[in-house]
Amino acid sequence: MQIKIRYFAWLRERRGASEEWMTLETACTVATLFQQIFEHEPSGIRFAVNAEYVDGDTVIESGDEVAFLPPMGGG
Amino acid sequence: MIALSRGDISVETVEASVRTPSCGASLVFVGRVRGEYRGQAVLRLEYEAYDEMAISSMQQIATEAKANWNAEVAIVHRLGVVLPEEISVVIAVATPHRAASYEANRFVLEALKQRVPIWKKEVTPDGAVWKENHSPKS
Repeated sequence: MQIKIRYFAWLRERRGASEEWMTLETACTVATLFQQIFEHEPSGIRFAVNAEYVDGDTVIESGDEVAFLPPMGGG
Repeated sequence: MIALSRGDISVETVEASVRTPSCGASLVFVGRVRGEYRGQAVLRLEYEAYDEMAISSMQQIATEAKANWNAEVAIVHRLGVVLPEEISVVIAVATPHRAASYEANRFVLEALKQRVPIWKKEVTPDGAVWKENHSPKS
Protein backbone atom coordinates (compact mmCIF):
# COMPACT_ATOMS: atom_id res chain seq x y z
CA MET A 1 0.00 0.00 0.00
CA GLN A 2 1.05 3.54 -0.75
CA ILE A 3 1.51 6.09 2.00
CA LYS A 4 2.87 9.61 2.21
CA ILE A 5 5.43 10.60 4.82
CA ARG A 6 6.27 14.15 5.89
CA TYR A 7 9.43 15.23 7.68
CA PHE A 8 10.10 18.43 9.59
CA ALA A 9 13.01 20.33 11.13
CA TRP A 10 16.07 18.17 11.78
CA LEU A 11 14.31 15.00 10.66
CA ARG A 12 13.73 16.70 7.31
CA GLU A 13 17.39 17.66 7.10
CA ARG A 14 18.53 14.17 8.08
CA ARG A 15 16.22 12.53 5.53
CA GLY A 16 17.09 15.08 2.88
CA ALA A 17 13.43 15.47 1.91
CA SER A 18 10.36 17.17 3.30
CA GLU A 19 8.04 14.44 2.03
CA GLU A 20 8.04 11.20 0.14
CA TRP A 21 5.71 8.44 -0.98
CA MET A 22 6.50 4.95 0.21
CA THR A 23 5.09 1.49 -0.51
CA LEU A 24 4.56 -0.70 2.54
CA GLU A 25 4.52 -4.45 1.94
CA THR A 26 2.95 -5.24 5.30
CA ALA A 27 0.94 -3.30 7.84
CA CYS A 28 3.04 -1.51 10.43
CA THR A 29 2.74 1.09 13.16
CA VAL A 30 3.96 4.65 12.91
CA ALA A 31 6.65 4.00 15.54
CA THR A 32 7.92 0.94 13.67
CA LEU A 33 8.02 2.89 10.43
CA PHE A 34 10.08 5.60 12.10
CA GLN A 35 12.55 3.03 13.39
CA GLN A 36 12.87 1.43 9.96
CA ILE A 37 13.61 4.76 8.30
CA PHE A 38 15.88 6.38 10.89
CA GLU A 39 17.33 3.25 12.52
CA HIS A 40 16.84 4.46 16.06
CA GLU A 41 14.10 4.74 18.65
CA PRO A 42 11.66 7.61 18.13
CA SER A 43 12.72 9.23 21.42
CA GLY A 44 10.99 12.57 21.87
CA ILE A 45 9.24 12.26 18.52
CA ARG A 46 5.48 12.64 18.26
CA PHE A 47 3.39 11.20 15.46
CA ALA A 48 0.53 12.42 13.33
CA VAL A 49 -1.65 10.61 10.83
CA ASN A 50 -3.63 12.78 8.44
CA ALA A 51 -2.64 15.88 10.45
CA GLU A 52 -3.89 14.62 13.83
CA TYR A 53 -1.83 13.43 16.78
CA VAL A 54 -1.76 9.63 17.19
CA ASP A 55 0.01 7.17 19.47
CA GLY A 56 3.08 5.34 18.24
CA ASP A 57 1.21 2.03 18.07
CA THR A 58 -1.26 3.36 15.51
CA VAL A 59 -1.37 1.08 12.47
CA ILE A 60 -0.90 2.87 9.17
CA GLU A 61 -3.56 2.44 6.49
CA SER A 62 -3.33 2.81 2.75
CA GLY A 63 -3.32 6.42 1.63
CA ASP A 64 -2.45 7.80 5.05
CA GLU A 65 -0.26 10.84 5.47
CA VAL A 66 2.18 10.04 8.28
CA ALA A 67 4.19 12.83 9.91
CA PHE A 68 7.10 12.60 12.33
CA LEU A 69 7.16 15.59 14.66
CA PRO A 70 10.34 16.49 16.56
CA PRO A 71 10.08 18.60 19.74
CA MET A 72 8.46 21.88 18.73
CA GLY A 73 9.76 25.43 18.83
CA GLY A 74 6.81 27.69 18.15
CA GLY A 75 6.45 31.03 19.90
CA MET B 1 -8.02 35.19 12.91
CA ILE B 2 -5.89 32.05 12.94
CA ALA B 3 -3.03 32.23 10.48
CA LEU B 4 0.55 31.54 9.50
CA SER B 5 2.32 34.49 7.91
CA ARG B 6 5.39 34.67 5.73
CA GLY B 7 5.47 38.46 6.04
CA ASP B 8 5.24 41.07 8.78
CA ILE B 9 2.37 40.75 11.26
CA SER B 10 0.21 43.77 12.04
CA VAL B 11 -0.47 43.81 15.78
CA GLU B 12 -3.30 46.28 15.25
CA THR B 13 -5.05 44.02 12.75
CA VAL B 14 -4.78 40.96 14.97
CA GLU B 15 -6.16 42.85 17.98
CA ALA B 16 -8.98 44.33 15.94
CA SER B 17 -10.07 40.85 14.89
CA VAL B 18 -11.02 39.79 18.43
CA ARG B 19 -13.09 42.82 19.45
CA THR B 20 -16.78 42.27 20.08
CA PRO B 21 -19.38 44.47 21.76
CA SER B 22 -19.56 42.16 24.80
CA CYS B 23 -15.82 42.23 25.46
CA GLY B 24 -14.54 44.86 27.90
CA ALA B 25 -10.94 43.72 27.71
CA SER B 26 -8.49 42.70 25.07
CA LEU B 27 -4.92 41.64 25.67
CA VAL B 28 -2.18 41.22 23.09
CA PHE B 29 0.97 39.16 23.47
CA VAL B 30 3.75 40.02 21.03
CA GLY B 31 6.66 37.62 20.74
CA ARG B 32 9.85 38.98 19.24
CA VAL B 33 13.15 37.44 18.19
CA ARG B 34 15.99 38.01 20.63
CA GLY B 35 19.15 39.55 19.19
CA GLU B 36 21.21 37.52 21.61
CA TYR B 37 20.79 34.42 23.71
CA ARG B 38 23.02 33.66 26.69
CA GLY B 39 25.58 36.20 25.53
CA GLN B 40 25.77 34.96 21.96
CA ALA B 41 24.51 36.93 19.00
CA VAL B 42 21.50 35.55 17.14
CA LEU B 43 21.53 36.35 13.44
CA ARG B 44 18.05 35.07 12.61
CA LEU B 45 15.44 32.43 13.29
CA GLU B 46 14.07 30.20 10.57
CA TYR B 47 10.54 28.96 11.28
CA GLU B 48 8.78 26.11 9.54
CA ALA B 49 5.44 24.41 10.18
CA TYR B 50 3.27 21.49 9.29
CA ASP B 51 0.92 24.11 7.93
CA GLU B 52 -2.46 22.38 7.85
CA MET B 53 -1.93 20.68 11.22
CA ALA B 54 -0.64 23.92 12.77
CA ILE B 55 -3.80 25.73 11.67
CA SER B 56 -6.09 23.02 13.02
CA SER B 57 -4.11 22.87 16.30
CA MET B 58 -4.40 26.63 16.75
CA GLN B 59 -8.12 26.46 16.01
CA GLN B 60 -8.49 23.74 18.65
CA ILE B 61 -6.65 25.88 21.22
CA ALA B 62 -8.91 28.83 20.40
CA THR B 63 -11.94 26.60 20.88
CA GLU B 64 -10.67 25.55 24.32
CA ALA B 65 -10.07 29.17 25.33
CA LYS B 66 -13.59 30.01 24.20
CA ALA B 67 -15.01 27.18 26.30
CA ASN B 68 -12.97 27.99 29.43
CA TRP B 69 -12.91 31.81 29.44
CA ASN B 70 -15.47 32.82 26.83
CA ALA B 71 -12.49 34.32 25.03
CA GLU B 72 -12.29 35.50 21.46
CA VAL B 73 -8.84 34.40 20.25
CA ALA B 74 -6.56 35.35 17.38
CA ILE B 75 -3.19 33.73 16.72
CA VAL B 76 -0.81 34.69 13.92
CA HIS B 77 2.62 33.07 13.73
CA ARG B 78 5.46 33.95 11.37
CA LEU B 79 7.15 31.41 9.12
CA GLY B 80 10.43 31.63 7.26
CA VAL B 81 13.31 33.91 8.19
CA VAL B 82 12.61 36.28 11.10
CA LEU B 83 15.28 38.76 12.18
CA PRO B 84 16.10 40.01 15.69
CA GLU B 85 13.47 42.35 17.11
CA GLU B 86 10.95 41.32 14.46
CA ILE B 87 7.67 39.80 15.58
CA SER B 88 7.47 36.01 15.60
CA VAL B 89 3.97 35.58 17.04
CA VAL B 90 0.97 37.67 18.04
CA ILE B 91 -1.75 36.32 20.32
CA ALA B 92 -4.78 38.50 20.96
CA VAL B 93 -7.65 37.61 23.25
CA ALA B 94 -10.78 39.50 24.20
CA THR B 95 -13.06 38.65 27.10
CA PRO B 96 -15.94 40.30 28.94
CA HIS B 97 -13.66 41.12 31.92
CA ARG B 98 -9.91 41.65 32.26
CA ALA B 99 -8.91 38.78 34.56
CA ALA B 100 -9.98 36.20 32.02
CA SER B 101 -7.94 37.90 29.30
CA TYR B 102 -4.70 37.41 31.22
CA GLU B 103 -5.46 33.77 31.93
CA ALA B 104 -6.67 32.97 28.43
CA ASN B 105 -3.73 34.66 26.73
CA ARG B 106 -1.22 32.75 28.86
CA PHE B 107 -3.06 29.50 28.20
CA VAL B 108 -3.00 30.05 24.44
CA LEU B 109 0.73 30.82 24.39
CA GLU B 110 1.72 27.83 26.50
CA ALA B 111 -0.56 25.50 24.53
CA LEU B 112 0.89 26.81 21.27
CA LYS B 113 4.42 26.08 22.42
CA GLN B 114 3.53 22.51 23.35
CA ARG B 115 1.04 21.44 20.71
CA VAL B 116 1.30 23.45 17.50
CA PRO B 117 3.69 21.84 15.02
CA ILE B 118 6.03 24.76 14.39
CA TRP B 119 9.82 24.54 14.55
CA LYS B 120 12.58 27.10 14.66
CA LYS B 121 16.23 27.00 13.77
CA GLU B 122 18.40 29.55 15.54
CA VAL B 123 21.28 30.79 13.42
CA THR B 124 24.30 32.28 15.17
CA PRO B 125 27.80 33.19 13.92
CA ASP B 126 28.93 29.77 15.14
CA GLY B 127 26.27 27.71 13.41
CA ALA B 128 22.64 26.72 13.63
CA VAL B 129 20.60 24.71 16.11
CA TRP B 130 16.97 23.59 16.24
CA LYS B 131 15.52 25.17 19.37
CA GLU B 132 13.07 23.10 21.38
CA ASN B 133 10.43 24.45 23.73
CA HIS B 134 10.71 23.11 27.25
CA SER B 135 7.75 21.48 28.90
CA PRO B 136 5.95 23.84 31.29
CA LYS B 137 6.98 21.72 34.30
CA SER B 138 10.71 21.98 33.68
